[in-house]
Amino acid sequence: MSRAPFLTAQALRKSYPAVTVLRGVSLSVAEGDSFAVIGPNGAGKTTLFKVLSGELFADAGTVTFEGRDVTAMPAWQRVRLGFGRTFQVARVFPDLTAEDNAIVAAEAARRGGVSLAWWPARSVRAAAHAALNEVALFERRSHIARLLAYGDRKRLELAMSLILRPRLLMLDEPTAGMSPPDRAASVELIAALKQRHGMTLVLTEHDMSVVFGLANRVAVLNHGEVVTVGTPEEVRANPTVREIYLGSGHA
Amino acid sequence: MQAAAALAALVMALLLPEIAGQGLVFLAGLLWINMVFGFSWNLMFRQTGLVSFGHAAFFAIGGYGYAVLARAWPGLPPLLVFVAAGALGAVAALVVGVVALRRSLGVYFAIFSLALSQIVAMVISDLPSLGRDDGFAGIRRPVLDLGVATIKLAEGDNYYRFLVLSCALLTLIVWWVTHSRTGRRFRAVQQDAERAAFLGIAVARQRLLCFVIAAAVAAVAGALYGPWLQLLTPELAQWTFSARPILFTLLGGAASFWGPAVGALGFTVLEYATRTLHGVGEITVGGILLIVVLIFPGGIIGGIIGGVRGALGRARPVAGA
Repeated sequence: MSRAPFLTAQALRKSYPAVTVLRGVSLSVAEGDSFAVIGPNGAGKTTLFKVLSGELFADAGTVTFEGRDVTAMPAWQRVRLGFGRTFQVARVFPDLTAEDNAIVAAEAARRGGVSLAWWPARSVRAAAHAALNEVALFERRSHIARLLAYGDRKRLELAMSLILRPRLLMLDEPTAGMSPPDRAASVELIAALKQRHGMTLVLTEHDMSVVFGLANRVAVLNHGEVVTVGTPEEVRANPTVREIYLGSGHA
Repeated sequence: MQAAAALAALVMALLLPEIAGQGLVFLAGLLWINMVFGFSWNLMFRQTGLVSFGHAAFFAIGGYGYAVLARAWPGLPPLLVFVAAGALGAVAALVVGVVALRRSLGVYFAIFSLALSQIVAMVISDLPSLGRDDGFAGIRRPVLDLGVATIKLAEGDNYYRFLVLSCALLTLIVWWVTHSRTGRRFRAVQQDAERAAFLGIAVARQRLLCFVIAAAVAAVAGALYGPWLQLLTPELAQWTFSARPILFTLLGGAASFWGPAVGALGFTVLEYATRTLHGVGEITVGGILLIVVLIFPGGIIGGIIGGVRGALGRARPVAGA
């Protein structure tokens, strides 16, 4: 089956003062994919993630989204094209309630300029409540975000991203810091949300059970270069990957 | 509750000349202006996390802007001149903000704003048309022609009442912005700019907008200040004047919208109470402020809320006791 490239990276290079992190990374993600980027610590996953999402700009190379060059586009503009993103450590607005976090996201989704209406529109509140319901946080909507349990903050962040109806959702270690039962529940939730909203997923993750539970394609990064891209089975069977990353115990 | 308290304070402020002498009324007029100046600074600080050490520049731009416009075109409607002074502050902030906020935040922005205010003070000191260090004197209290009635603000306590109503309107504007959808976006930027950006919020634009609104409000406060004192001096743009809204906010409590008002009231009371302590008055005020801020890091309002919560906690029956 041949599908048009949805998100592409072409020869991305990125260096910090003391080290080159990305050495010509090229990737192609098709619409509907669940695309995981894995690799050992220091492989460049986080930097690649930041460059793809617009948090950082590449020194060289291009990023395209639906054929459009977004290389020099800041994150907020990419979001308006259909990007969504969650962070390794959940980032929500800590002093606002879960409901207000969702309302800010719902109002941002409507865009518009300066508005002096101090009450959220009924449709905004409805969108916020629907998203909180989707991640089973509606009952805790009046809780201050920083006082929520870590897993709840992760789900709140996910709900905020969903409100924007992203076509591409980028998940940076979506189960980091969670207990094994929470991880399994999280994988189930993400898979269900992907199905329901018809999103394309790009994720990084250390936990291989999460990667192989969610991804239909996997790219392996090592020393800032793509080692291989393939289905989870192909990657699992790749001897180079086993040697540099998975180790014989995973074979 | 808040609205009722604010309305009660407004009525009391309007009735003050009936029960108080001229000196106290004059002091109250300064207090209302100081409160608005504090609100405008805290709008930036509380809502977007911007720390400006040069907010007085916009106060001075508004003050001098009003004085120059009113003198050059005495036929202009006074309300229009007040609005023009605010617009002058907004345009100045827009120009400064486009440059400063693109390049720097945090302490760099604070120092940049400090440098700006010092430049404004130096320009005022150098320009003969602005009175140099001697000050811009003889600023008249205008005549308001409302169509149905003409009010001479120079007569009796008319300007004071105009000042109270104008400050109430400015407070309402800041409150409204703070609690509006735009205010929620500002707050999101202050809480986590990166997260806000990944919700599609143009963070830099929101910071600039907040900076411009705060500057416009400070400029109108400055415009109201000129006819009240009938004299403007370059000190209005100095860092010492910029420190005032910061002090009001920290003293009253930055986390609360009303913090700067409580801080301005506390500061004014302290200044008034120590006015006879020649030579040691400022040290006494400074020392007391330092002690209050050290004991109550959340300001007076934070201290009161903490105290009430503590008392309620103690009053609550202990399970099983």
